[in-house]
Amino acid sequence: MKVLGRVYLGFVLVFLYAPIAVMAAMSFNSSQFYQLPIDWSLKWYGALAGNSRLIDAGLNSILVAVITTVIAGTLGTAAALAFFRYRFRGKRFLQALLFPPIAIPWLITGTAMLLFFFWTGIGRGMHAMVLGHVALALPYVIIVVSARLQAFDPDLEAAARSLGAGPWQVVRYVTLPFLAPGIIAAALFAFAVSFDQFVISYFLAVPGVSTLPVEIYTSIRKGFTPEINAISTIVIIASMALLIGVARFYRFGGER
Amino acid sequence: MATVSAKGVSKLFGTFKALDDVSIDFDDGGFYGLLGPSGSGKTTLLRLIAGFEFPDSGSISIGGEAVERVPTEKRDVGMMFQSYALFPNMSVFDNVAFGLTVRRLPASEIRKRVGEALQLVRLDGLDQRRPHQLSGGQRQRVALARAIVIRPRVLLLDEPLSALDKALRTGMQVELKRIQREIGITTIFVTHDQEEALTLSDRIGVLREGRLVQEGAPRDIYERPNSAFAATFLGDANLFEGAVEDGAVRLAGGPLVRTDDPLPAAGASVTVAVRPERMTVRLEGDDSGPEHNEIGAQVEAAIFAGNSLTYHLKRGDMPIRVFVQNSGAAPVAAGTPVRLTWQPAHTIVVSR
Repeated sequence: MKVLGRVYLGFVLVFLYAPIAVMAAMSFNSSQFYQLPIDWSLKWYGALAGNSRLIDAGLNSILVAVITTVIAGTLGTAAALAFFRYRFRGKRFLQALLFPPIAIPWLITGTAMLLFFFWTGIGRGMHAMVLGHVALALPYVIIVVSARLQAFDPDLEAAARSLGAGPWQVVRYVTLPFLAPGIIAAALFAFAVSFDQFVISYFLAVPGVSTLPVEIYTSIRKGFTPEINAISTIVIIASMALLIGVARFYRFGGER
Repeated sequence: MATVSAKGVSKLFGTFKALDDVSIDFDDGGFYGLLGPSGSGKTTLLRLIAGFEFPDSGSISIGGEAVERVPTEKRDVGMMFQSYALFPNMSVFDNVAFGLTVRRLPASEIRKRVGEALQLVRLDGLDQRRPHQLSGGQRQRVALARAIVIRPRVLLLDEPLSALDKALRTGMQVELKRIQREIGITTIFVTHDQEEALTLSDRIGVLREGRLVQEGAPRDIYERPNSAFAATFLGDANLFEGAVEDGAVRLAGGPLVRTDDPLPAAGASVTVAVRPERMTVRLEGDDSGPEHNEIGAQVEAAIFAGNSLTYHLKRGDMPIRVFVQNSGAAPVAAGTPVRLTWQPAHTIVVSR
C-alpha cells in the first residue's frame, strides 16, 4: 500500500508540475521549436524586455489585481464583520447569495457583465475590469474572513471595551490582529482571482489596454513565441515567492 | 471604588423578560454574589452594570452617577470574563497593559502599574508569555490583573471559578478574597454555584426568572430563606405543606410542627422548610426533648460519604433527606421506621 501511495503521489506531482517545468526549461532554450538538447540562452527574456505589449499587459494585470485586492479585501472584511456582529432581516438570504457567483461559469458572468456595463453606460476598460474583478473576488473574501471569525470570541471585543478602548481601537488592536491571517489569505484569493482572470477581462478590455492573460491569448493566436514561456516563468516564480513568504508568517488554518 | 445601585431595572430580549423590575444596592467595598440558575437574569444584570447592554427601563448608577446610557468604555469598570477573553496576539504584559495603553499613559507609568498588578496576582516573571502558554489558573490571574490595573470603580466577575478544577478553585477563592480586600474594591460576581456564592460573598442576591428573590448576608439567607426556591437553591431543604393551627403548623397526615417564625392566621396554608442537617434520626425507643418537633419516617437508604452520611427517607410517599456527621455508629438499616426530630427554631416558614 505504501508503495502504491508513493506511486500515486508521484503521478499527481508529475501531472501538476511537468508541464510547468517543461515550459520553464524551454524559456531558456534558444530554439523556438523545443529542440533538444537545450541550448541554454536568455534570448527570450531579452526579447520579452523589448515586447512592450506583454510588459504593459503585465503591469496592467498587477495594477488591476492590486486595486481589486484592496477594494474587495476592505469591503469583504467589513461585510464579514457585519454578518458576524449583527442580526438583521434577510441576513441568511444575503449569505446564501454569496455562493452562486462562485459556481456560475465565468463565461456567463462575463457576458452578463458586458451587457450590463453597456446598458448602464459604464462601458469597457480598466475601470470596468476592476468593477468586474471586485464583484468576482468579494464572495471569496467574505467566505474566507468569515471562516476565521468563527473562532473569534466576541468577549474579546467586550473585554477591550471594558478596558476603555473606543470602537476604532477595538478593531485596530483586537479584531484586526486576530483576523489578520484570514484577511491575508482572503487577499491572496482576491489577487489570484483577478490576476488569473481571462474571460471577464477579455470581454471588458478595450483595444490597446489589456491584461496579461488576454495578451498571452492574443499572442498565441497570432503565433506562439517562447517570450510567452519567459513571462509565464517570471509570473510563476513571483507568485511562488509571494506564497512562501506569506506562509512563513502565518500558518493558515491552525491556531497560533 | 464606589457604590453601585440598580433601581427598577428591566430588560427584554425579544419577548423574553431577562430582568423584571430589579432593585439592588451594592455598598462600597463589598463583595457581592449574584446567584441563580441559568436564565435567572444574573448575567444580564452584570452586563447591564458593565454597560454591554442598556436597560429598557430603570436606572443604574455607579458612585452616585447615572450610567445606564454610558457606553462601557467610559464607565470605568473592570470585568473578568468566564472565558477570560485574553487577547491571544498579545503577551501577558501587553494584555495587562492594554487598558493603560489605550488611555495613553506614559510608558514608565504603564511598566510600574503592570508590574504591581502582576505582583498582586502573583504572576511576576511571566510577563513575556503568550496566553496559550499559561495554565488555566495563570490565565485567570492575568484576566484579573488586566481588570484591576486600570483601577476601576467596580470589579465585575462572570462565573470566576467555574472553569477551574476543584483543587485550583479552593486556592483561587482564598486569593480572590485576599486581592479584593487588599485593594478594597466593590466587587460583584455572578455564579450558579451555591458553594462559590457562600464562600466568597459578603452579601448574596438570589435571582429567579428575572426577579430578585432575596438579598442578604450568606448566613442570613441560609438560615432564613424567604422562599422555597431560595431554601432549595442555596443549600438543601425538606419542604412540608400544612395549615396553621394553635400557633403551630399541622402537617398533612397528622403531626403538629412548631416554629419560632411568625405565622399567618389559623387555617391559612403554609409551607415550611427544614435543613437536612438540622434533623436528628432517632430509633423508636430513643428520647427526645419536649421542645422537639417530631415526625415519623422510614429509612430508604443510607449513603456513606466518609465524614458524613446522607439518609434518604420516606414519609408516606414524600422523600426526606437528612445529613448526619459520621460519629462512628453503624448507620440505621434501610426499611427501619424512625422518628425525625428538630427544634422549632429550625422550622422556617417560606413562601411557595
